[in-house]
This record gives sequence, C-alpha cells and structure tokens, in this order.
Amino acid sequence: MNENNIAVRLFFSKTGRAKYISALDLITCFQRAIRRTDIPIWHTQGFNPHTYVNVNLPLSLGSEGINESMDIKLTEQIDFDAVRDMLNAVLPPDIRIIRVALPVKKHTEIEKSVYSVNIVCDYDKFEEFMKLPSVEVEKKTKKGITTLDIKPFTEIKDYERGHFTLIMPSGCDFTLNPSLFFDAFEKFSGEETERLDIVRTGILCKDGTQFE
Amino acid sequence: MLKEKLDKILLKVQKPSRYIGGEVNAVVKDKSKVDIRFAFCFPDTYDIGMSHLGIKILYSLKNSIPNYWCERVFMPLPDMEEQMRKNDIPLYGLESLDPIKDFEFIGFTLQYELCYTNILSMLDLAGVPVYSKDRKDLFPIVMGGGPCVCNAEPIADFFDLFVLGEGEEVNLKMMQLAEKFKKNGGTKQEYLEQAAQIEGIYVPSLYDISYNEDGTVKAITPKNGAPAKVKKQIIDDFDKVYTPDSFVVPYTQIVHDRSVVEVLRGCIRGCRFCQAGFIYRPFREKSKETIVNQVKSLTETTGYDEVSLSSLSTSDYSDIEGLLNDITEYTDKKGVNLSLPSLRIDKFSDEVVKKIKSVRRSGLTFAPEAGSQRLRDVINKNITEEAIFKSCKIAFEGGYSSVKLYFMLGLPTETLDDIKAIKELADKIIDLYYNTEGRSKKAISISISLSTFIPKPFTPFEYEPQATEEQINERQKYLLDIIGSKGRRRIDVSWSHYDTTILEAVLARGDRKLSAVIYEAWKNGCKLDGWNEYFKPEIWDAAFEKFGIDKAFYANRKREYDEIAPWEHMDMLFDRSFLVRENIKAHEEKTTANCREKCAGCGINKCLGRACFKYE
Ligand code: SF4
Repeated sequence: MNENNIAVRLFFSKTGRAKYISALDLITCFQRAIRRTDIPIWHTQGFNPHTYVNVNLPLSLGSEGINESMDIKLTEQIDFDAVRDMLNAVLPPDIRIIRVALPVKKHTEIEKSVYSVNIVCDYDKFEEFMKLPSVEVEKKTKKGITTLDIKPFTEIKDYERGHFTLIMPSGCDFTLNPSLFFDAFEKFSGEETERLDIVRTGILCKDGTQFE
Repeated sequence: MLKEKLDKILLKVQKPSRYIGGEVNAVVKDKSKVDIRFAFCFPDTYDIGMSHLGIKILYSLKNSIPNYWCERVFMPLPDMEEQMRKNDIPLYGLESLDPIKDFEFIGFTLQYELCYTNILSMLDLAGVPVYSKDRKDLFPIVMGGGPCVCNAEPIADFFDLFVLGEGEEVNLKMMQLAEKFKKNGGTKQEYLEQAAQIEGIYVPSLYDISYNEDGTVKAITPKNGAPAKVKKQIIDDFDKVYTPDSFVVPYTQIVHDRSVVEVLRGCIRGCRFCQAGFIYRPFREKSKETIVNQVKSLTETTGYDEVSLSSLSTSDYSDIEGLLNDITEYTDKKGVNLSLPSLRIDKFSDEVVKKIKSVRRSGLTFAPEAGSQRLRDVINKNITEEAIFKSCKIAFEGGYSSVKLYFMLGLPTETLDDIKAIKELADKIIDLYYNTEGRSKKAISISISLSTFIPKPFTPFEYEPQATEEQINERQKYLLDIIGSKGRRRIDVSWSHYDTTILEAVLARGDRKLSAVIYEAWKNGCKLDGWNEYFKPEIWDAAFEKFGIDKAFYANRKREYDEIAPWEHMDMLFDRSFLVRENIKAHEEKTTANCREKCAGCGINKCLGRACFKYE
C-alpha cells in the first residue's frame, strides 16, 4: 500500500428501491459509479486491478439504512464535498451520499446495529411475543444448524404499538440478522406479518459510541 | 404505483432487484407531462432482456421525446409470477411501477420463436385479453417488432400491429398517430386502418387468409386499403442511426454485463441457412469516428469496465485494423476491456493479433457449421480448413489449449460422409496442437456443439424440409460411434434437444392456424419454452393433436418454389426469385461470392437506389 493514499469513509443512505440491492451488487454499483466520475480513486494492485471499495457492515437484503458506510482510498487530496457531489450525480436515486469524512473508528470495533422498526401485525400477539422469556431460533453455523436463544441479545426500546427501536449484535465475531427475530414472531403468531419496515439508523462500537 | 404491494413479496423471490427498477440511467418522467406511455416488453427474463442491444436503442429513442415515456417490462420467473398472482399484482413497468394495462402501447420485441407463450403469459399477467379481437378499446395497442415479424403469422391473432424491419423511425410515427387519436378521439379500427398506411406497419387483421385443401395458403387478401405488401424499413445512412449515449446499468449480474456498440448492420456473406444474413440486408457500417465516440460516451455514462463490438460479422468491417487501433488507444488508457465476440483472427496482421490478445476473450471458437468442404459449399459458409488451422496455430502458440466448434446437423444434402468429416476436422486440430511449438503443456480439449438445422423464412433454405428426429438421431449416433469412448476424452460432444428444435421449426414457418395451438399450449401451462427446465413437450403435443395439426406439415415438408408462403405479403426488399436461384445453386454445390467481392443480384440495391458497395 502506498502511504500517500488517503482513506476516506463515505456515509450514505440506501432506501426505497435500493433496499433490494444485495451487498455484493452494492459493491459493483459503487465501483461503476466511481468510474463514471473523475474521482482520483486507488485501485487494488496486482494482476487484475480493480477499484477498491470496502463495505464496513453489509446490510441485509430488504432493510433500509440511513447511516451506512463504505471505505475508499484516494490517490490525491480533493475536497470531500466534491466527492459527495460527484458521486450523487451518478449514483442511483435511492442511494445518496450524506457525507464524506476521514475514518475515525476501525470496522473491527463495531459491536451492534440500531434499527428503527415499523411492524403491522396483530399487536396483542406481538406484545405477548415480546414478553416471552426466551426466543429460540435455528441458526446456521459452520458446524451445522444449532438452536440459539436470541432473547438475551435482543434489546427493544421506545416501544409504541408497532413502532420501536431494536438493537442487535453485528460485530465481526457475533452477529444476528434482525429477520431472525421477526421470523420467530411469524412462527409464534402462526400468520404472515402484514408489513415490516426495518431501517438501520446507527452502528455502535464496543465503547458504546457511534461508528464513524 | 405498486411499490407497497411489491414490498410484501419481493423478499420471497430470487434476486428481487430485477423486479424493482431504480437502476442508474433508468428514465423516470413526470406522469402529468406525458401523453403516450409505452411498455417495452421483452418476453424473456430480465437477465436475458437487459443484455439485448435493440431494446436499449429503442428505449432511449422513445424516451428522447419529452411527452413519451417508455418503460421496461420483462417476463417474471415462476416464483415471482406466483407471488404476483397471489397478491393481485398486475404486470407493471419497472420505471413507474404502474400497471401496464393503462399504457397506450404494450410492445414486444420478438427475437426468437420459443418466446411466444411468454407473450401470452405477460399479456394475461398484465390483465389484458390475449386475443386482439377481444381488446375493443383503442388503448392499449399491442404491437410487436424484431426479426420474427418476417413471419409473425403464428402469433398474428394476438397482436394489433407489427413493425417490419428497423423500428427507429416507424415506432415514432406509430406513436405520433396514437397521440393524434388520443387528442381527437377515434376507434381502434380507425387507428389500425390509418396505421396500416404507414410504411413498415403490418396490421394482421386487415388481411384475409384462405387455404387450399392440402393446408397450404391459397391467397392472402388485404382489405380496407391495407397494402398488398408490407415493406421492411431500413435506415440507409447508418452513421446517422439513433444510438443511445447511455444504458440502464443493472444491479444484478446479467448475461452480458458490458456496454455494446453496434458497428455494422447486415452481412456480406450470404450463408444460405442464416436468416439474419438476409433479413438485415443491406450491409451498412458506421464510420470509425462514430464508433469510437460511442465507445467513449457509453463507457463514461455506464462505468462498465468492458465494451463489446456487436454485429453479425465484425471481421467484415472495412477498416477493422484501423478501427481496433483507434478503439484500443482509448480503452487501454482507460483500463477498459474490449471484447470481440466471433472475430476471425486469421485475417489480421501479427501486430493486431497481439493487441487483441491483450484483451479478454471468451476462448477460441469456430462455426464451420458443416464438416466437409462440399457441404460448406452447399450452405455457402465461407470458412476453409486452412483458415481454421491458421487461427488455431496462432492461438495455440499463444497458450490456448481448448477449441470450441459449432456444427449443424440435418443440413440439406447432408450424408454420413459429411458427419465423418466433423470428426476428421477435430482430429486434424488435435494433430496440429501436438505439432505446435511453444504450445501449452495441457492436454487439448475440443468441444463439438451440434445444433439441428432449422429452415427459416427468407432464406434460400425456406423450401427445405427439416431433418426428422430419426435422421438426426442416426447422424448423432454415427458421430459418437466413430469418435468412440476413448476419443470422447479429448472431444466433448453436446447437442440440442429435438423437441425444442422441431417446435421452433414449426413456429418459424407456421401460419395463422397455429395461433390456436399456441393459445392452447399456454393455457395448459407452457411458458419459458426456451428453458429446458420449463419446457413441456407433452402439453405442446396434446395441443397440436387437439386441433388436428401435424407438426411435420410445417417442419419436415419440402415446399415447391411456387407455393404461396404464409409470409408472402412481407417485402424484405430483395427478390424472392433470388432465394430460388440460391436454392438451386446450393443443390448444385456452387458457392456465391460475398457482396463486397461481387453483387449477387438480390435486388435490394434497386430499393436503395444505389449500389451496396463501390465496386472497381
Ligand atoms: S444488392 Fe447485391 S451487394 Fe447488395 S445485398 Fe444484394 S446481393 Fe449483396
């Protein structure tokens, strides 16, 4: 790696139709977008060089995010606002760069994700479900399928009929997809959830501060 | 807008991003300022349709008119179709997510016959009656374009109109007429009668077809002022042909994930089995400057790292060396790959070969189509063994160790000797490989891909019977036998299914009696016939039987030169007598020179009012 490279973190939102873009496709999408601009981007070296982009914490398919981030490297210093504007001009409408900054934290410091959830369902049942002492789910691991009680790792705040904040682990070594919780609820209630919107609003580090 | 309903189902289907639009360069307009909405339907999946160049050209062209809005629509796969039906979601445009049944036009591009049942599926999923006669309102108008329009008779009953030939100009005229009708009022019948007066528009309901007792066509009679012959449209000055300066860039990986620049249209070769070589006549090419500019602008607006040159035969571009030099000057600088499908490397100087080598290619492929020189003369496929060997040698020296060869079985006049020649050719390539100095250390692998010859309208072979299943099986088996199980370690042989081939053959030269069969097959569950995993031959057979229709009548019957073809009222601008002359020459094993060398007198130059080439 060249020491003249400037690591830069792009904070962006991925909402609306863009929530159906998979993590892998999102990388391609950013690489192509960057190639449509004159941003002095660093390429990986070697036999088959490509535009370097790194997603810090992939968002699961179907969820929206308003505080997502991705790292790139610049080969020369340019104005960060200009990077933002150049990218916004060529990105799909439902992916917007909010700000561009120097990275403060390392992605290995990430511990949890904060989601804002809207659910339309039988609320009595949902409230009953929330009071359960344990929520057993099946989780695929390298060793096969194991059952896990996700209740101790699921934190719900500010609950108001169908609207609440959900905090779940999403670190390098332990991560839970919020869909595990809602799939368990569907199983519990025995009916399909009418509507479910999940928006990741923030990412927390081990020291309790925002990932930035 | 169906977004809310879609949100409920999209996570239940495979690769949802192909059903939601919102891609870069997708055109979104303000509905209140739009007069004509056009649903551009590709009757196959998103992944295939989005790779197609024609749809990109017409999409951009229509959207370049401020008050017209063209949206893309593809065939949903069964998992998605099931969810849509269960949740009452009608087929929608990817840009607005509005139901297409409310659009002024539903337009299909007809690229291959096996997509016909998909058309019915899509209309039905849109909530639109599939038969033209059942659609009484002026809008939506259901239209079709693309190569299959040269014989659209099997699907004539489902369409209101077709555009024959290059659609760039006709499409706009057709939409302008609709705009006038929308403003001033009028019935569908009135619209269709006026549309039929536009050159290149074919309104099937304005033609009566009568049949002889033996099932052949007796007469095709135009009515209400429709022209006796529908004239194919072409754009003579190809440098001025509309070319989009941006492509919609999909999120998911599609078949051809790259930008594409069309370098020429038509073909000089005149291979007698090749429909494209006849229906896209005359040969026209873009200037070098135009092509290079298009390569640049597409690369810049899409961000693709690969660009491909497209045409029926890019090697025939008049200054191909100069063109490649100019393009690579730009692409090398930009770090963009140039891909050149089916380029004949034997024609190039070493310097250019080196350049092409530096870019990624899919591998070494040849399409001799026939094993023996005799049979290659019959089909007028101008490729000699020497040329194949020369290219192979260059490639082997460059480290290649695998070769793919394409052949057709069932060509007119074919005998077992011609099949034997396939094996002999493979053997000679193997010998060449092991005698090439500096070759790779790997063992050679040759793959032979056998397709079954399908006679197509507007080719010299439109009179020919398709080989029967027994004949094809016999020839296949013979080839496998002479290669032997030991030989097949080095020579891999694959072939197409006769079931799909004969269906394609029937539909290609079919008449209007087949509409009922297609409807019946679709009603009983046929769709995605081009996909092996979805193809249901038993249902098709039952449908043919129900209407007492013999597939062999369409596929395996020899036609006399004076028989009236179901497509007789389509004028492809060359003389039908030319096809007869070429057919006779084929049986005499005589070749015809390519158009650049010598005009073969097909007659299209009379329509152009100029010679196709400047001959010395
Ligand atoms: S008029 Fe002559 S040169 Fe032109 S396409 Fe026909 S045969 Fe070829």
